[in-house]
Amino acid sequence: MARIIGGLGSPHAPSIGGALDAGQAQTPGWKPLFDGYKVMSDWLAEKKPDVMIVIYNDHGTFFFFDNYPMFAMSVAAEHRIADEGFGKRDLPPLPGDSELAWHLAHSLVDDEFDLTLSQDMPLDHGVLTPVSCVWPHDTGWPGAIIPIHVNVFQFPLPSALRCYKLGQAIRRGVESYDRDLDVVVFGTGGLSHQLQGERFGFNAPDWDQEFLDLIEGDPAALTRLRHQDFIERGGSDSVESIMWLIMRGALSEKVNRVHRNYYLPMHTGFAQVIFEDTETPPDGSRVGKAA
Amino acid sequence: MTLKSKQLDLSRDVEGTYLFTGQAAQKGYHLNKFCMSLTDPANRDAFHADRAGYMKRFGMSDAEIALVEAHDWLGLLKAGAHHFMVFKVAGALGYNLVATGARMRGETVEEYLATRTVTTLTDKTKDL
Repeated sequence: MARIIGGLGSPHAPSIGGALDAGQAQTPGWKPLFDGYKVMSDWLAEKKPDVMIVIYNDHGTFFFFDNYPMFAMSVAAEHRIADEGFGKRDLPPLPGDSELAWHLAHSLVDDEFDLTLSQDMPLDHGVLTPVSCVWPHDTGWPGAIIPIHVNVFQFPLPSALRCYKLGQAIRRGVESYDRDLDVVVFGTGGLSHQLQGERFGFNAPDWDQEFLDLIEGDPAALTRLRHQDFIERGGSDSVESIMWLIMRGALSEKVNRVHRNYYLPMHTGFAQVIFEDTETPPDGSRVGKAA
Repeated sequence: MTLKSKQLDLSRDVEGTYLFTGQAAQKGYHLNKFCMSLTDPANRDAFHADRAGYMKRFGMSDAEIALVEAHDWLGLLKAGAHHFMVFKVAGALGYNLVATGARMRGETVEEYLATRTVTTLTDKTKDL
């Protein structure tokens, strides 16, 4: 049986991927963030998940307003690297897991989540930044990803509660899959930030810390917030932190936090977490898993 | 008629904020389509070769074209462009995120950076 062993949280700002590619991870400005990514990549190297379900949003790179999906899941066997308008990052294409993705598609639709299914979903910084910062990729990638796009772009957006429930449904889907796989759910997006209007650059570090407390210990409290609350407290772009609730909804009620990092260098509250599931063996051992 | 939403209080303005509601998306449809076209390098070349001619192909109005030519990023938001779409045009015209944001705030890059924690990270290519 497949199972969820933990959840990760990370920002997905394109500048982070750019800094990684330019070899700037150890510069004074970036080190506080990349030291955190080292913890995350070490955790993944130890746990060796087979699949990461990556919760992200496209940024006007692939999905347009002619047909804009609320939730879209890739069932592709491979994902192209997209050009967002500034040239492509030099990354190998990211493998998918079509068999698990189709299983999840059936499970989620049976569970009343009627999401869009995509057989060709080129990826932008929403996926590429976080995944490239935690997985080595000089010669391909150590596992597969299943990206799920969430509309945090064009109102109306799915509610925070809806996102949390989607996470719970993802867990049911993974646990009803009979291949022996370890799965991690990766919630992405910045905490407080606003990248538009005269309020550009708005941040709320105190609220970000409260968000991090709640996402770990009381996610239900976050599901009661309206988009308006996120916008007023954390800036208009912080509404994307509802994507972290999908990750959290996929985990056990209690989680074991093994990493929490926060850094606010310029426009965006960057936060990272690792939550281990407490309803699966913490050592990652299981029948049939190769040593 | 004001839209009713359980998630948004549309009667309450958040100062300096232009929410990308479905109605904004509809108003800015052609504008956003033009912006998104710049994800193709051949289109970026065509834009640089004949900016006004290229924009007209997308059904943009003279007023919308003038906003692009004036680098009026705030005006583009008000015209219904999503800010991530604006970034694609601004980027093509040589503005990184810091420069685009400072201009939306009505500040110079130096003035904006003076409000930030880390002020030294605007390197040649990327910023935070």
